[in-house]
Amino acid sequence: MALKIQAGGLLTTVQDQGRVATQSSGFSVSGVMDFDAANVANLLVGNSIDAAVLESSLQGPTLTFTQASHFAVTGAIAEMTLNDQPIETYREYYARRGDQLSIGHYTAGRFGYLAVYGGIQVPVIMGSRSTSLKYQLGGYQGRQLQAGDSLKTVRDALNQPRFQQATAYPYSQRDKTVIRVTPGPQYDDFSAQTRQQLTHQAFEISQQSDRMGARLQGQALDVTKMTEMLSEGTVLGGVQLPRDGQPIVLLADRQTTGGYPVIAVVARVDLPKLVQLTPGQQVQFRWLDLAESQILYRQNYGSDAAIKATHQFQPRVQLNREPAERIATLFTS
Amino acid sequence: MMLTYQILPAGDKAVNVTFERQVSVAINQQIAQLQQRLTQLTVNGITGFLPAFRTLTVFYEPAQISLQQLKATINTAMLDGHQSTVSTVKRVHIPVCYDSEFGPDLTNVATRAHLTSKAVIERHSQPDYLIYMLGFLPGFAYLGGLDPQIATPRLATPRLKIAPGSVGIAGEQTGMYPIESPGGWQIIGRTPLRLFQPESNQPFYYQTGDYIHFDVISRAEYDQIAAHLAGYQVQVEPVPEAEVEQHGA
Repeated sequence: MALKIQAGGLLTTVQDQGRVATQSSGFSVSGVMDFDAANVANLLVGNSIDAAVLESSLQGPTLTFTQASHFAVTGAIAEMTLNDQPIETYREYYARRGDQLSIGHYTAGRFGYLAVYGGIQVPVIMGSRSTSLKYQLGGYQGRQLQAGDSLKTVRDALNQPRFQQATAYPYSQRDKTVIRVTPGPQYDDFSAQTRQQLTHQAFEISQQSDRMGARLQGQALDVTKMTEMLSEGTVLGGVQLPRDGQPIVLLADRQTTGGYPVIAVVARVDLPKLVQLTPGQQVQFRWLDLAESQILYRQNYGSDAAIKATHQFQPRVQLNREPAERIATLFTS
Repeated sequence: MMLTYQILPAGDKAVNVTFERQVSVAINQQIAQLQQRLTQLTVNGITGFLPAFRTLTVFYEPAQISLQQLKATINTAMLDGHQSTVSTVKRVHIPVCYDSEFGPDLTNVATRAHLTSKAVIERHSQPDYLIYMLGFLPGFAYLGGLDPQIATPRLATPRLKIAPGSVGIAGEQTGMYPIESPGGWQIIGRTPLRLFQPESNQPFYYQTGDYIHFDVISRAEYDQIAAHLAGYQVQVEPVPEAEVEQHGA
């Protein structure tokens, strides 16, 4: 055992990069909502970005390390403590056996991540450790974590370098956030006027937003001229327009197929920004050329090196604590 | 003859190969062939596929393959796709018990069709149904080929719970519920098979482009299969190329 949950926080689940292969059979992909924050947490502690992490929404968990471990918390900003001492997000820490980590309510952003060295160990189901709450499969017994749950970490983890800290994503406290989009597969089917309607107003993130999709509210887009569609495959970030003309951005737990036209797709580089917005905040869409969008994604997130550069990873200051930690690990794990 | 198609970008990491807007056997086969062809080519950077009624969503990693290269690869695959590749289409036999306990709406369907229940069962278990798409639920197959005589509209009030394995009719479609779900389909029978086995290496028995055949079983056979599920060998046969083409005709 490595972690014991004292309080589950809100919607705390085990997630990784998602279940990609079975989407062709109708099983939702799931996976982390903010891939950037999850990747940074993993890289800080020396994990591969494929390692499973804990994701929480609005409030993080309180837990005890039953085994010494390096860890990092990223994503949403929260007041948090390690044994009652305040600690920061986007920093790597070392917890000894028995140390208690408490992550409070999020003060900015919506999804927070905890990575522990080696990654969270739960059975791999259909190629992934992600939790599907809808089908009660994967992750930790297919459900959100609660007090009393015990989680293991992978013991034979790669020994990659750890880092001291990284710059946090500047979560927007502003009312309006620009989110860039590229044309969706049904872009050509919409009138020029409707395409303009998408970018000539701000939309508000609705209370109904969840891991399936960000529901937006604004002046309804004109979809009356759209012909009935045959269902087709959905993609992450697809901006779907149902009959009421209020856009829904499809996210991690989206259905695999959908029958509403997709006018745009959120540029992958802006997806972390979008999922971290909380209800009441506003989105201003802006068209972006696909080629440019792909370059931006590659430059910022396309490789471990790119992620580390984007977040200005700081190497660990070589303290003499390292050998002491190793010895402590030997005796406590 | 090659069908007309467009390659439409769907964000940074996917394109939709989009055929004419209709539900057709020819389009379904073309999509299955294209997916098979692209899989065989083992193109670096193509990360997955999601077939639907008239689209094949191809996922890719733009750092490994550019959109232009991907389009060229798809166009090439479309050109040689119909020069016979070995068909991997299969026919999967699903045993179904049509007893009233499992098929509460069978008499409904029979009454509307002016047929006996027995005649409905015969008509339902006769065709090879083509899987046009999987979606809505894990392993939920949108099947084509229902006898129009037994087509029946959905229930006016959907049920809150439909048992896994239930077989039903909705309009001109027929299908199976792999997991428990609410739903408005007219339920006419049930299979003892577990249609979704997440713990298995192969969680599903079938994929888009395959055929489903319903085999009538008695209540005793249902219990027998249900009691020895692990030992039950689902009957699966390859569908020869010629037969696939015949279905398309």
